[in-house]
Amino acid sequence: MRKEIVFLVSMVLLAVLVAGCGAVEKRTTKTIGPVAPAQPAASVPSAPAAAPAAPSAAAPVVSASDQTLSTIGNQIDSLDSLGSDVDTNSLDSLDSDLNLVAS
Amino acid sequence: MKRIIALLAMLLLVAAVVPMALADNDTGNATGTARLGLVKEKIQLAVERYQDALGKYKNAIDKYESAKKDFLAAEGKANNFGSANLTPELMNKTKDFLYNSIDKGVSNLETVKAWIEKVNISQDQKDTLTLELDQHIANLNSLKRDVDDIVIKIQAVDAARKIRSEWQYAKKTIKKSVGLAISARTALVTNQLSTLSNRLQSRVDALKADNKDISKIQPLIDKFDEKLSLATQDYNAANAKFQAISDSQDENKVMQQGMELLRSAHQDLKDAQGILVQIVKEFRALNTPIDTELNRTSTAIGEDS
Repeated sequence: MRKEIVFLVSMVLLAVLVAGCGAVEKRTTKTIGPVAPAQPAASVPSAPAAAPAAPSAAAPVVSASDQTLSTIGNQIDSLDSLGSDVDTNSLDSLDSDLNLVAS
Repeated sequence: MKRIIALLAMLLLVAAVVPMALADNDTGNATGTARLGLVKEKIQLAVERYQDALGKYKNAIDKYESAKKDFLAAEGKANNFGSANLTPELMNKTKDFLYNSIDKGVSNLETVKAWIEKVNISQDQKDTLTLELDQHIANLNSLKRDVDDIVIKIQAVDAARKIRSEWQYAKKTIKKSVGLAISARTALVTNQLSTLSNRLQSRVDALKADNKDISKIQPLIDKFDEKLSLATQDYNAANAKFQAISDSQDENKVMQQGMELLRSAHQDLKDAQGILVQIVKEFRALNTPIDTELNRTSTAIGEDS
């Protein structure tokens, strides 16, 4: 019977050890794995909504909700400039130029 | 002894199950991070495609301007294609001008498609908006066969008329699609702020049930809702304007009216954001943090590129 107890205790210890190793492995993967490829997106050009408010050197400690509010503000502000990089004004010039042959 | 064995067996079971549950939780977090990474990668890819399309469009414009210049030079003193003597040189320059006109138009449509792809709206909306653009691209490209077949002057005139007619529809679609994409983005932001308002109202209801003083916060939430309602009215009106562009005789005017309505909607949203700042202060005064609600809203609105 003593052998059985020793066997069971060994099994418990082994299970704890394996589970511990598994947890450490998961954390390591999470830290250095999937996060790395996402880094280049930080330099996406013309993404005003993505940019968090730049903290002023003299500013007091800003709470998380203030930062999120600022982000939402930027997301709303960026609506005004959406589409400003699409040239819809010169669309008519091709129309009139084709008249050089069509008329 | 049997009890001890049973106890140890239970311990073994717990030791096996608990770390598995923790590992699952970690996997969930990792999946969330990976998903965020994928979204950012998708945005980055869309931005790169847009830049690429923009580069090609500029190149198409340069070629078109050069072809137009050569065509006008070949026309010479006649200064009118109808009365000009159709020499082999003028024939070649005319065909070249028409090919480049098509390429310029197609490139313009491709640029707008790439732009829509980088706007942060649903994929379904993007697909709907780009469907018509694709049709115009196909129609314009098919007209290259008409240019191939040009032998006599009237065929050149006929081909130019067909290209011009197709382009007149295409440019209306471009204006309509751009307007509708901005409108869809405005709708997304407004809807997310409305969802936030509902969540905040639930928090206020809970405070009221706890006999907390909500006399300052409730009117602010009502004002917040009012602004969102105005924004919704404005972008719905803008949407109707953009939809009407296809059948409009003066699409530039209709486009302008739609954009003015959108600007009004954006101002309503800015006003709503100002009220939201006051709402957050009031929640803070009641020791009721709403960071989670704000974060969920900001994440749902997402980045725009």
